[in-house]
Amino acid sequence: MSKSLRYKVIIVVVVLLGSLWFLYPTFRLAMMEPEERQAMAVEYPEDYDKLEKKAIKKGLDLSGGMHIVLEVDDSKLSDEEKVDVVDRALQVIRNRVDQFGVSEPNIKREGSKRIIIQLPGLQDEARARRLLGQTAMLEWRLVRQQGEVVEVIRRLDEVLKGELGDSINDVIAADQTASISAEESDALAIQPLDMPDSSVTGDSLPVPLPGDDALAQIPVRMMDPDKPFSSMLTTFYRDWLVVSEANVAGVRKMLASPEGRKAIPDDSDFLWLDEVMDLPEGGTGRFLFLVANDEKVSGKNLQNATPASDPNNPSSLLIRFQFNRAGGRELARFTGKNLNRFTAIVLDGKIKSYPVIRSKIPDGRGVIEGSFTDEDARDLSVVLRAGALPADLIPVEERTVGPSLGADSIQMGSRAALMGLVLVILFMIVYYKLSGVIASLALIFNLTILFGMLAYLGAALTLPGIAGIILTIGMAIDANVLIFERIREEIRKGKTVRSAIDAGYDKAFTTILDANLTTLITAIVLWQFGTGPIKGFATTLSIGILGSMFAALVFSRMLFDLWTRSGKVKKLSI
Amino acid sequence: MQFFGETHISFVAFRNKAFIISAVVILAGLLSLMIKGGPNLSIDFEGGTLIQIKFDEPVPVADLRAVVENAGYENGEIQGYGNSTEYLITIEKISEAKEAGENLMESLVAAAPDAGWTLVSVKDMAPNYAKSFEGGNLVIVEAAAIPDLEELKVGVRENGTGFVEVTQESDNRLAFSLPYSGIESQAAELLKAEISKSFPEREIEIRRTETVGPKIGAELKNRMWAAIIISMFGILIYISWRFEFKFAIGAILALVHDVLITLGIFSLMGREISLVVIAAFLTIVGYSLNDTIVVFDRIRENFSLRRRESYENMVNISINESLSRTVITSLTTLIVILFLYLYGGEVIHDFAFALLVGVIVGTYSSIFVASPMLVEWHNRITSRVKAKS
Repeated sequence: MSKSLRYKVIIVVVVLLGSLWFLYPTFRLAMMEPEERQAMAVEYPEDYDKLEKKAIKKGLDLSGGMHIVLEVDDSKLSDEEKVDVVDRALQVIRNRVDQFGVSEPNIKREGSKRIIIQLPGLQDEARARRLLGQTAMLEWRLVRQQGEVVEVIRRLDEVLKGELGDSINDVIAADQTASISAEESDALAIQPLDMPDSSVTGDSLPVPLPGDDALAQIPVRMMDPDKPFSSMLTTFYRDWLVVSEANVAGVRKMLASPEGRKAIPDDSDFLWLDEVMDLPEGGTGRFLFLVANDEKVSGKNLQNATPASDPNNPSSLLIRFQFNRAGGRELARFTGKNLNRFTAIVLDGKIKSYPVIRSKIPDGRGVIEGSFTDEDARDLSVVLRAGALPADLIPVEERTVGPSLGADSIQMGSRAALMGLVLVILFMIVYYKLSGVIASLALIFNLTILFGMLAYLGAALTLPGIAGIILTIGMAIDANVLIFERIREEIRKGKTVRSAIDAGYDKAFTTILDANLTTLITAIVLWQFGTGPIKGFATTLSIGILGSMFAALVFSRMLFDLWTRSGKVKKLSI
Repeated sequence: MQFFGETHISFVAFRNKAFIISAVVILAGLLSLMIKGGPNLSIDFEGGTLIQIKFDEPVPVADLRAVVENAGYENGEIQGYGNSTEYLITIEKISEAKEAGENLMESLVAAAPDAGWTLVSVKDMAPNYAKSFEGGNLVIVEAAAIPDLEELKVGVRENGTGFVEVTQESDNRLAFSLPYSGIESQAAELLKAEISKSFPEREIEIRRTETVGPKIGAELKNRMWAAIIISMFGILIYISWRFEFKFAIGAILALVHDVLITLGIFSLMGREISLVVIAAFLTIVGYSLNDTIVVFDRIRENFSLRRRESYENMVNISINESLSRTVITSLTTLIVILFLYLYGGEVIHDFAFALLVGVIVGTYSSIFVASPMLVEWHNRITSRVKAKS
């Protein structure tokens, strides 16, 4: 084998293996039955996530879902209020999008005033629009104390007894091997913990850090029919409950049930901390707070909140905040009355932080301490100011595709592509015989690279993207046709097989280069200026063009060389 | 197998007839565009709302139209889509002038009850990106006595109406510039509610909704123009660099020719120009160029090989030599596009149609327009040189 041929073989094998490697997750997912997929998602969620991330993603027009572009309308705001209004809006939106229950929401900022939200698989778009359009609600609410919480838990146990039965156990994750028996769990169920030392001075509210002391062991629990609610809880931590991640769904369900709702007093609500906590004994869990809805301060009156360095501890940050006059009066009353109690900072029904009240704040100006990192401090100050977001979010563009249409599009697109592919291959083989087979192999090679690159780039496949692939099938043949026609010419001139092939490739080379590069120019411009679906088209077209050049100049050349290298082929089948 | 052996068709001699044919088709298209007042742009560019709706059984289009009209959208268009139970409702350019006027009046009265406000006029001002104007409604109001302007600004905003700016037109007249408030999305919501109310016995599935605000529409228009102009420039530069300037001119003329014809055919057939159709146009540009360059490449090659031939002959030989390739590539491309057109589904239909027309026209133009144009250019320049000497 000559040196240049050997290089070609090596390059082709590497590219092919690379493409197949990137394509493997897509293959594996496509081969699985829906039930298998479900089972894997439950049993090996991490592996499944990885698989899904690496597989070719479907664009919204294929998966179904909602694409919405919101513009922050700051025309009602003063210049002062306009500062980082888009960041605040983003925070509010991120917070709300969680409620839609879509698996991979995509939220990003575009330009100076716009936010793009993509919700694949979203069904209820009216609800989404309503939720996204609401004004943000931020409140500082008093956290109920352990004694009060214990009362409510007893009542919940009482009303839920016998009401829920087995249905709750279904919700608890399948991994029950780690669970402990009901008798053992009884001992752990409700265990008060001491209040932390109150050594912080001044008008500060330190945030307690979880996981620093007596968190009990966190096993997954089975429901005890006699104590349906409390048996699902792991432990008390100060004034709130710790629920291991596996039991969160069950607890949510009980709290939302009609009986559960009746058992919770009207002046209180159970709310979750937004963050998932690593528990000291392994696993993750969530904090559940019982918060007052009569004793609270509205975040609407919060004028400003900014990170600042902590004078007592220069290495860490705290957050300075300031309420307006009306809010300041409210805050003075609230803090004066509830010294050393915890307060939950609640944005749209989710707890973002839970500082303890150290002293009365008389003038609306205070700080939140808590050894924040830069990022945490910035995030929390944005949350705090989100409550005072009077800006409207205006939908400037919305595109929703129902799941059935997406499925139809995939089916129709792939059928059109397949039929086109088969016919083009048939034509090539009839017209160019064995050389046509080589061209067809080059076409399939090109498509493999195309899909491999799509997976590698993490680019979503859209309907126009499929159109781009179909177009590639038609146009990718061009490079081979150019070469074959040249080879035929050379053979007509009486050249030998080897020299005809060499001359054909040499002469077609510049043509292929010029013709493809100009097409690439338009594809790149399209990519640059197009939006979502158009970008998908430009992506597949660009990869298709580059791939077809490689397939024709390297891959099919290699096959020709392998075929004719012995010199025994006296007449080329072309 | 071989379609063409060695051919000696005199394409170049045919050029005058070809130019006339092209001119006639282009003129017909331009005429149609003129009569219809420009291309029929979709909501992607005009702004508006589109709902694709599927019933379990066919419903009378007239009933559907009545629902849309009763909801207050007299300019709504309804068409059957795909199979007989699916319909497409399109409402373009939804004005929110009425709401804008009412909202502002309410806020004004709340902010300054004693000023005696009257609404003079509301005008929808389209976005103009050349002047970095984002568009909105210009509301002109009069008052018996205009209160302090700074206080009024705060008052109006506090009472729920935002505005970009306010100017005092005269002693008793103010002009408020109000931003768009995204009424298209409300229109889609309203329509869906109305339709499910009006056909209670039918099962309804909303297959797709799209709403585009006037701002986005204007932006997309701008972007697309930029894309077209920049790709033309890129091509001009690339071909001038690889070939000669006159080749670049020939190629660009062929491109303009192809896009004009496709645009004209879209107008004649009453088809809409949407975002994906523009993408198809740009693809046509790329494809037609591909074809043209293959022929140009032959001309360049023959230019050094056959110095004795006349320019006209040489171009003609080049076209003939690459004819086989031109036809085969067009054929394979047409095969796949035809499948896309027939089986790709309604959503992609216009896109596939544009490509279908574009590929046919592009093949024709690279044989009959681009290369003969070179001959024409060459002849004129040489005759001018001769005349001078």
